[in-house]
Amino acid sequence: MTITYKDMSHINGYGLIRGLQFASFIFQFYGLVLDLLLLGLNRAADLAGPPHLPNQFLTFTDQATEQASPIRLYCRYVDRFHMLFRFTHEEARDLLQRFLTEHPDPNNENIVGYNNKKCWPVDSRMRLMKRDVNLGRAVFWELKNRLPPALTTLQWEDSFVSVYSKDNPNLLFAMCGPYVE
Amino acid sequence: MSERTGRHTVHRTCTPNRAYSFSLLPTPGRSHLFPNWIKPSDDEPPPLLVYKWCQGINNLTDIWDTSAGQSVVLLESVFDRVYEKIDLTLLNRLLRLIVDYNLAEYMTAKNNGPRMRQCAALCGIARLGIVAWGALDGEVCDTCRLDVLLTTLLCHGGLLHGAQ
Repeated sequence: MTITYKDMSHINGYGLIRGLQFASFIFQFYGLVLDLLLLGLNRAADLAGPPHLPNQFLTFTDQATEQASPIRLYCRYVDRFHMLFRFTHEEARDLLQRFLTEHPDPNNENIVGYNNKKCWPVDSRMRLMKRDVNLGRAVFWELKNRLPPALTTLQWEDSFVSVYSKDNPNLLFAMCGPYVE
Repeated sequence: MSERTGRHTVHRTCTPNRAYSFSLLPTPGRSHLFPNWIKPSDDEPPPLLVYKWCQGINNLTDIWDTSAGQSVVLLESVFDRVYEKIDLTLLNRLLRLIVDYNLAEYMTAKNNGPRMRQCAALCGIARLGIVAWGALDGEVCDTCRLDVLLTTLLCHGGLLHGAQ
C-alpha cells in the first residue's frame, strides 16, 4: 500500500502474504531461523548431525551427544513445535532456582491457570505438584526468553507443558490432532 | 522466411525452467537445506509422525527412569503471529544467504508490492536465463520486457528473423 504526500511516498509492507508463490518455502526457512534461536546453534548442530552424514529424524550420532544437553528431541510442524527435555535432579534444581529468582511465587499461584488438557480423565491428567508445575513454567520461561519479541513469542495460553517425574507417571501431549499419553 | 512479410519471429531461447518450480519441502536425496526436524515432510504423513515421535521418545537413553529425581518435560507451543511479524528487510538478507540475489529480491518484492521492484527483480532473474518468457507475461512492464528481450537475444546470437 502506497501513501503519497507531495513528492514523498512511503510503501507500507506488512508481513508475509500467505498463499503466494514461495510463501511456504519462505515460511519454512524463517521457521528454521526461529528453531535455531530456540535450540541454540550447538544443540541444533547436534540434532541435525554433521553435513556429510545428517541424522535421521530424532536420532543422534552417539549417546554422548544425546546426553550433552537437556534438550533431547525437537519437532516443528509448520508453526507448532514440540520439544522434549530430560533433566537430572541438579539441572532441574538450577533451572528452578533461576526461574524462581526472576518470578518468585510465595503464594503458590503458579498452579492456578496451569494448562492441563481436559480430554483425559482426571486421574490421567498431570498431577499439579508444586515442583512439577514450577519446572514446567520454568522451561516455558526459558524458551520464551530465547525468542526476541520482534520476531515472535510464545503464549502460555497456547502452550501445553507436560512433566513426567516420580510424582507424575504419565507424559501427555497432542500432535497434529490426536492426543497421546 | 519471415523477412518477406517483414514480420519478426522470435524464438524462445531460455529453457523453460520456471524459477519457482523447485521442491518446496525437504525430500530425501535433495540438497539437505532443511534439517530433519522440520515437518511436514514427504517422509512422514501426520499419523506416522506421531508414531515416530513416540518411538523417538522411547529410544532415548533411560528416558523413563526417575529413580534419582530426573524429570522429563515435553513442551508444546505455537510461534505466535509469525506471518505478520516477518520483517521483509531481514527476510531479504536471510534469503540472500542461500539463493541468488535476484531471487531473494523477487521473493521479497512479491510480498511488498511496488511494481517496479518486482519488475526489476524479475528482469534480473530473466537475464540469468532461468525464467521462461511465458512466465513473465503480465508481471513485467513493457519497457523492461523489451530491454530483457534485447539483452537475451544479443547474448544468444540474434534470432530476430528466425524461422518459426
